[in-house]
Amino acid sequence: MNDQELMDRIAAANPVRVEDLGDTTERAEALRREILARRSRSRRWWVLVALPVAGAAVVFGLLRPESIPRQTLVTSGEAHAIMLAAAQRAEKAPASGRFWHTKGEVRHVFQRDHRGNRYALVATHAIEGWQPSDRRDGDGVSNWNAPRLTPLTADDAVAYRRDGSPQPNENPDPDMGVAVQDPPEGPELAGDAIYEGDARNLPHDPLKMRLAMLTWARDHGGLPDNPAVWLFREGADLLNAESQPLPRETRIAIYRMIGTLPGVRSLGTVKDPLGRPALAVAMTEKTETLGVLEWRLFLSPSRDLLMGTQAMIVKPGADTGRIAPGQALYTYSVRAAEWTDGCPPGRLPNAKRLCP
Amino acid sequence: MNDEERFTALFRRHHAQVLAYALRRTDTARAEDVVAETFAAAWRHIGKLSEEPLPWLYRTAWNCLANERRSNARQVRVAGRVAAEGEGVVADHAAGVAENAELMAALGKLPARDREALLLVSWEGLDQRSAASALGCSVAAFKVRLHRARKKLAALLAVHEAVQEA
Repeated sequence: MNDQELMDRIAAANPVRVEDLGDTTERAEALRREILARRSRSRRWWVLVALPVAGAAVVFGLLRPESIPRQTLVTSGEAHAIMLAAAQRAEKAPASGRFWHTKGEVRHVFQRDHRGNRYALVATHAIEGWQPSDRRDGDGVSNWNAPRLTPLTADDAVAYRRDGSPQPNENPDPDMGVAVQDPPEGPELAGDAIYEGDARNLPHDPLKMRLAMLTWARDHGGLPDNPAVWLFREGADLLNAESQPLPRETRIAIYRMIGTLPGVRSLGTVKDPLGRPALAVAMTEKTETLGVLEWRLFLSPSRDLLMGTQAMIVKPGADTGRIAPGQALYTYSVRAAEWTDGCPPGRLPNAKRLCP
Repeated sequence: MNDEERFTALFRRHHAQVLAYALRRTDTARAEDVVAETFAAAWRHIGKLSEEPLPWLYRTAWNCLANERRSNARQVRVAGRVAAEGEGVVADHAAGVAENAELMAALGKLPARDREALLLVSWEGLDQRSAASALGCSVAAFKVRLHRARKKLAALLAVHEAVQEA
């Protein structure tokens, strides 16, 4: 079966065709009237009441835009200082070059239950990205290889061997091997939206940025269970080295925004997962199926770079029962990230000009 | 045209398409909730929506469906619906229904975004640019995803056919 035949077969299996819906006008019009009546688009302006507290480290912002929860702004402490220092490094960051070139690695743990053999595997993907600064150089790409699989523990190694030491396979059939998936962007949490709003135009004020992101989440599937941790994770994702850096002012604002989140802790100067010195901050979250996780950010002490992110198991949950506390469920490490006038090894898709 | 008129025009133009999109992916009650949530979001954003808002509407509906997508309940429901369609069909159609069930089962085994890439093109009839926008990725990334999804699906169907023949 060729590609077109396959697509035709899927199209023919379409279970609901628009023309088969019948006359939905009456119900649709009722819904339209209800939406228009439910709320006027003239938004209530939010009221910010800053409560000065003598010697306090925290300012409370009382904000009530519909159902967006009350926001608390942290304005001091070690984690806050680490994030402010990162913002200052972003002020000096160079921002030129024909391509943003990155190399990194994603390492994630997953459990497999195949024919009675239960074990946890670590999949490690090497990733390389090329993002052009000029559209004439084409579309940005991220390339990754098939993962390298290793059992998580000695017990896992025994069960893995008993299962025939299956290797990565493009085919998702579990009998054919371990299904190859794209390297995930992080552990998947039920109910959490991935922020896909217009990051370039986020407000630079930390409080307004938080509200803009939460409003986007509310309007695209609902507020996350834990808004502060969601902002921590999604803010870090916007700083992720793999995609082309956001405008300098936006990056500075994101660092500052993360520093104002309640619950962010400093881990101080640490070694990152690749053994390099880094400054780290963390937040803890109780999730529905993954247990209690500690989300960690590793920041370069010398430049504007999020060197890596990590989700550690603090207490295993239903889907992470084979992973011991202290093990990393997910790790993304940046090995290199820089603007360059050098060219990618191949022509990028839709490139309109040659390089060099 | 003021905002209310723009919303009304958009709603009347796309309501049936968004309803069909949701019904293809979940049960009737949930589909109606998804449609309501999607158009409520469209109303809140009416000033910012493009002249061709359908990919945005599909993407919003996709996000509304996130919970059940993650629980995989949808796969069961889609397969169930296909099986239900099979009830009472005349014998001549039986082979086609079984084939559909195989296809649906294979689609259900694909990673969610791979499956969505295939369905946006095949069921929603979007071109690759609009489908990429609906999936929230670049056109280049979409092409790669679509290519891989086709390969994986073809492999799954081939395995099933080989088992049937054996």
